[in-house]
Amino acid sequence: MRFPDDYMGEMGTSKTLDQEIELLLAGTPIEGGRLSDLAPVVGVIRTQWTPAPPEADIAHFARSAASAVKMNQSPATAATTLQRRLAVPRLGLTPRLATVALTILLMSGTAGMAMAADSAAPGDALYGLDRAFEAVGIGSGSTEERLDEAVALAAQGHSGEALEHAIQGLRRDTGDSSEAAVTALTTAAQSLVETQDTADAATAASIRVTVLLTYVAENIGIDEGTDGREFGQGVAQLARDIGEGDDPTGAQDPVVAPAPGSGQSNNPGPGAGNEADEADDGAVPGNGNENSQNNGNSQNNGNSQNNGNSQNDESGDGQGSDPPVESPSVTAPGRGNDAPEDSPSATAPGKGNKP
Amino acid sequence: MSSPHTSIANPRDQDFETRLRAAKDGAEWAWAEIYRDLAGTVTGYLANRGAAEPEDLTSETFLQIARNISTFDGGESAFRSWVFVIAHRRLIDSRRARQRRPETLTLSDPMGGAVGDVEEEALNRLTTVELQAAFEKLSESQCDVLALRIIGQLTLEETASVLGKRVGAVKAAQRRGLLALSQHLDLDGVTR
Repeated sequence: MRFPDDYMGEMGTSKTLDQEIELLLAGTPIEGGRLSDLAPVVGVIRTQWTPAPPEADIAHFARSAASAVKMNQSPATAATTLQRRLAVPRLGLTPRLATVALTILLMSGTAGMAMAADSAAPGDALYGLDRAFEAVGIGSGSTEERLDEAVALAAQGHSGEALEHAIQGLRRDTGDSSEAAVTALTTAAQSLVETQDTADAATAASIRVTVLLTYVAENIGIDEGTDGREFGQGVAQLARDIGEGDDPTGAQDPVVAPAPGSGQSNNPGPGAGNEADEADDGAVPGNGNENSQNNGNSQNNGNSQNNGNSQNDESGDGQGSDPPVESPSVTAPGRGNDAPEDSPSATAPGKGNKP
Repeated sequence: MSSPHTSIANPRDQDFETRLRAAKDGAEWAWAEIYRDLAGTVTGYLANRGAAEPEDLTSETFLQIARNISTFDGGESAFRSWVFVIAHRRLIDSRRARQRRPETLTLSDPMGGAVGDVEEEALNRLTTVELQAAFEKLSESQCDVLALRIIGQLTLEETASVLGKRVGAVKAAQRRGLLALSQHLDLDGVTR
């Protein structure tokens, strides 16, 4: 062989070799150098081992990434705002209820993944992307597709996940009806938290969520010309219904639930004022929180386990190991849980990381 | 920093800043450019380093980048390092998950890149399989370094930061690695 094994022994030679390596890797190899044989190798590796992504993949990723970024921004902001509201002692909310509500808002819709089978199949170029993004519940398919998935989720009883799935889909859209829908669905999500203290109430709420989502899926954008007013009123009404105790099928629910949007809603959507029949339920504006205190200890306990971490989103820890795809739990961990592991040192690793 | 790819970076520093800002705002065009620029090298790196599903891992890597972009602050070089830090961690995680040594590379056969005459002749004999086999005779750390430097096209400093090594250690690893690669490939008589 050309290079004796003790080649590296000399400092001076190493330096020369280092320079040659830099030139080689820069694509300007030294003629007749010790490593000039490797020039074509470097070339072939770079041209053939670094496949340019297909345009379709690029577009797909760009869409997904953009919505991931926006999703990370808006719910985070909303969550902070909501948390601030919920955490204020004068509202009399237990921390648990606050965290349950937060969890619902932050849930990344993992449960939707199993069914969010997008068009790409294993082996397709897009499959990897679809899978990765669907694993955290974003970017899969059009808004319509998402709404359909949300309806299916709701029909299976996963109301919270269904709402979150739909909200995430709708957030990508602009337009009055999308905004109205997001507002209504957010109200619905909050109401849902407050109405789950008995199985009957949960079932009733679940049915109402399905009704609401079906309405949204079928009617969104239908009257865009009229500022979506009719649609907005429709969704707002259906969302308010979720907070009402009575069974949508007619049976009387024993539990009196606070009216949605009465205490914590930051969504004074069209027609959001309390109506007479709601007042009968004992829910008056500003009063709903007292009622909901007891609800914090309801069946949502599992969710609250996931919560404390939601502030760690930006912690930049980065040592965790489980990729999001590996946590398919139905009570989707809040984004706060898998985010920290995802953020390896954000401070320019090229600069300050030398030991 | 005079690196192999500062030729790309310099005139585009401002572009990168604009692009980063747009990416943080969720602009699709910015993400398309980021993906177009880096996805190929990331996939190549992951495949070379034995990822079972390099495309999937690439997707996960870029997804993570999108989700954490708000935490990133720095220039283009730092960004490239950051991308590969994430890719590298993903790789290690997936290996750990599979609890075994990296599998053999499953790259598609060379499709005949844009190379000519003597080189072309050499490369005809130099199949992907042979190349990968030569790579696999190297030590893990040499592979890491060479994959990042050749495929990832990172600079010395960037490579060091991704791997958490000192620049001197990277230099030593690439010296040994490249010399060994040259020997293993036995290019004598091909390019001479």
